[in-house]
Amino acid sequence: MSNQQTLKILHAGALRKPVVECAKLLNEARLGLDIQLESCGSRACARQVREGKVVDILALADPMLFDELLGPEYVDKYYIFANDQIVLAYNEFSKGSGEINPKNWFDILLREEVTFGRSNQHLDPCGYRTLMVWQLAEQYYERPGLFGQLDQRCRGDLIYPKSYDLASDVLVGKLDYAFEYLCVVNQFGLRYLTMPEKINLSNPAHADYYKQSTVSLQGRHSGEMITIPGAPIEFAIAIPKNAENPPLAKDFLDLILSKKGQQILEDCGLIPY
Amino acid sequence: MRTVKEETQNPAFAYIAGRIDKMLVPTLLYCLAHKPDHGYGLIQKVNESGFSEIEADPATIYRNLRRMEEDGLVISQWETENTGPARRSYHLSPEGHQALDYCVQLVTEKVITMQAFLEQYQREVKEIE
Repeated sequence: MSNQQTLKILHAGALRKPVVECAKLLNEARLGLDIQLESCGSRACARQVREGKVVDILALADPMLFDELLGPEYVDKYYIFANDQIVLAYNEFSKGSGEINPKNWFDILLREEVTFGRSNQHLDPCGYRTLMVWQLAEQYYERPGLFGQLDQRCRGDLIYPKSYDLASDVLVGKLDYAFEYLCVVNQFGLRYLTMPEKINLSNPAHADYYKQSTVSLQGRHSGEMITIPGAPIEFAIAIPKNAENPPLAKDFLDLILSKKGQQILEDCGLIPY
Repeated sequence: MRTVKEETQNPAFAYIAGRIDKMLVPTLLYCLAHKPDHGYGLIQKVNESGFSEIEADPATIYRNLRRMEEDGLVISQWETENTGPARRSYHLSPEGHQALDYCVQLVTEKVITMQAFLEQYQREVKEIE
């Protein structure tokens, strides 16, 4: 019986706040629930489920992961529920922040004294999306070699397992800048620079332009590499086939997809569908 | 057929009338009159159409769709019948079809006024030069 009252949620770090808010609402409506939340980079989340982790709700920062890593054995249906964009996060003391703008951000990042981070593309969609933004920026700003210069400067400890941790380090001043989702920046109350729509992966109207960027990633099987094209940033949620509490998972899913859920998502800086 | 006065007393129609110059809501209604669609597809169609003077970024489109739903012009539902990805799909309500007719009426009136302006300009300014 105790199993019926437990809801296990595995989610992208970027979705932390809206997932927590929805969990609180569900808890208020149905007292006595044991809601267990866990987060990591979305690719890492999907791999955990593939490797046998059992959860009732899986919320990821890229719908493609459901097809690429989980379907149809683990998930046969998923709901694409929100949109976001990549921004450049910083704090009030970040070097060069007083002069940064959409036309010079890359020159500021390439200054010797400036540090900037991104997340790991093999673990977190924000990581491969950042690499796509750099590729698109090279073309958009007509700066041959820009991708390589940014990539060369952002190595080793500057590549984090998940984007959520990047924001936290920008907040405390450990990093000057980080490539982040707008919703994460809002959740941390950070300052940010909005990039042009043609490179920030936000707008389906530019989907064909985004496709010009590609990133190679570890595939479904060990040693396999796949190449994925750029696409507008979307978030998706599903009840895995092996969920232990599908009725409770359905209640959570219905909540996040409801009008109330839309309001929570919007308050957290996402664009709800 | 409703009169313009009756229609502008309806808050949804008054909202449309106040923003007819931007052409975003008429374009959304027009796209949905062809067939139901989700926001992702509507963003692409609105941009491709060139009818709207407002840039169709996702925030603007979804905010307008939510407002149109609150006003009863569109009805949304999640596509749940098939496996794979599901998106919220929108279709026009009977009120939405009336709103599109109302948009056509407003645009027609504007075209007549603008046409009269052009003719008067040709006649009274251009031909005198």
